[in-house]
Amino acid sequence: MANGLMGKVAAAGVGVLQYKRAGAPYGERGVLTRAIVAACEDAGLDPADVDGFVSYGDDHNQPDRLMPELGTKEIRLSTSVWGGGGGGLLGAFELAAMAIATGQCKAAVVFRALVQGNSGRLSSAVMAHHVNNHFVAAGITAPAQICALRAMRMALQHNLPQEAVEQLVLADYYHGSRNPEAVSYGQQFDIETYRKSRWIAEPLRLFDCSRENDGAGAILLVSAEHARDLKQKPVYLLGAATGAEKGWGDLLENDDDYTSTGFEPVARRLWEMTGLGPRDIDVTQLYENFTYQGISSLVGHGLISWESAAEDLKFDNLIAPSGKLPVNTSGGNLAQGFIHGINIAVEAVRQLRGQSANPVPDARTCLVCGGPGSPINSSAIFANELP
Amino acid sequence: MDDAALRTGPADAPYWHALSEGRLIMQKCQGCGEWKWPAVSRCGDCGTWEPEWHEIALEGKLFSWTRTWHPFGGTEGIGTPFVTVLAYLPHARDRRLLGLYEGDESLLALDLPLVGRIATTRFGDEDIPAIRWLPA
Repeated sequence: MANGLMGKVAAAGVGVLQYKRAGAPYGERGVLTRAIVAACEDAGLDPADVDGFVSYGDDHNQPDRLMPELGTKEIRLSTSVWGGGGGGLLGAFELAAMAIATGQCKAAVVFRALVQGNSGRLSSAVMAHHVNNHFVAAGITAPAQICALRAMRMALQHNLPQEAVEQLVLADYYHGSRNPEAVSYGQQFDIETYRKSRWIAEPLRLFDCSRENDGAGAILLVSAEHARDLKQKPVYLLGAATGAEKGWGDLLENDDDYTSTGFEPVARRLWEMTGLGPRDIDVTQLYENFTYQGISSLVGHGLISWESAAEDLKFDNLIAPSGKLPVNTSGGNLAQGFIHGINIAVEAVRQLRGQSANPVPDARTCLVCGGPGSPINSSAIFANELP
Repeated sequence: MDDAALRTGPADAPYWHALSEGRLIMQKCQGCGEWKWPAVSRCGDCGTWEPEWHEIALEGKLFSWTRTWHPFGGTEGIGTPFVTVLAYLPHARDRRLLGLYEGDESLLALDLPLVGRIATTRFGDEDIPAIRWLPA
């Protein structure tokens, strides 16, 4: 089993700028440039020395166009992960780390930028990637509707109680309320707010759905050795995996296991390549485009099972510092903000540095899952010490 | 649509052509007998090219459903709320097809027996051939 990435590469810097949707004061490239420079300043590395650029989800910012403003000396890696959804999030880390570990480049940023005035609504862009007459003929034109069909099957096939789903929303909003960078900072959120929120597509209510922000995020990756010479405590990448197996993909809703979010083969490889298992994960950053998909991600990685979901998904169990299954310690896509998921990777780094607004005591490992339900999905494990 | 257009179009062109004529056809590989969906030009299981199309009865069972309340762009011609059903087709090894649902919404439950009728759905300026699922 491939384990060539184990601890070879580390996150050395993070930068995020987040605004209300359609509220960015700069154009998309301007926001992105600032996020990359912020990540470099965080690490203490000259932005001109970044020689690798990787994104995902049809990001529009071709790296060569960033060169004049970053002062880039040379681009040695310029690539993106296929797919319109968030499934490529950790795949971007995998590609960047492969390039650094093999010496193809030295300092790579994984980035995602989204400013509605430049790129339009993300949901429309994702749907344009998948939609065709088979969907449109049935009134399906948005990711929320496809995820609703899948969520309904999860609820009915696995008897997933609504109360369990609510616990994830409450945990996200609790973490977000304590995070000054979160859209929900300082807000009281109670279960009645959730229950009274309008239906989007049953069983999804408004508060089951991530809502788009303008902004950009960048994470600077360098070799583990290099990271130890930079300003911040290195956060090592132990492993990352991307993919799909037979019976899963862009199949017009004919995936073999319709209640899956496609993580089973990804998680299997992730455990094999790191030698870790679900019990070794101290904190998880879930990509909850929608609540049910976040829950299915936990099942796909073996952190919970459908049978244990009602018992494991309890508010007290999901929050820092006391829960045994702390998730989305920044507030996640639901309550911290949503720049196509890049925020949850940034939170993984901050959590393992001890800089989270909701620290998990003695956390050494963090699982990050990207995509849920995309044709291609990806996950990674980060750690603040080498095993 | 002429034969040449069907051959050079996407793999599911025959499906749309048949639907517009009021028939449901699905692909079954003459090499291995597997029902294929989405449509393919080559069976990935046995390597046979151009799997054959077979007409089947418009009968299914409910696999999942959602009722859409938010007026998503493109659904103006339908009007909210509306119910979408994902039906599985016992006549085609449970391959699944989407469609709008017509009928008593209190009946919506897994495995509800359904029958289909062929209609069109308005999307933008287009009328797209479509299946409507009704309780059997």
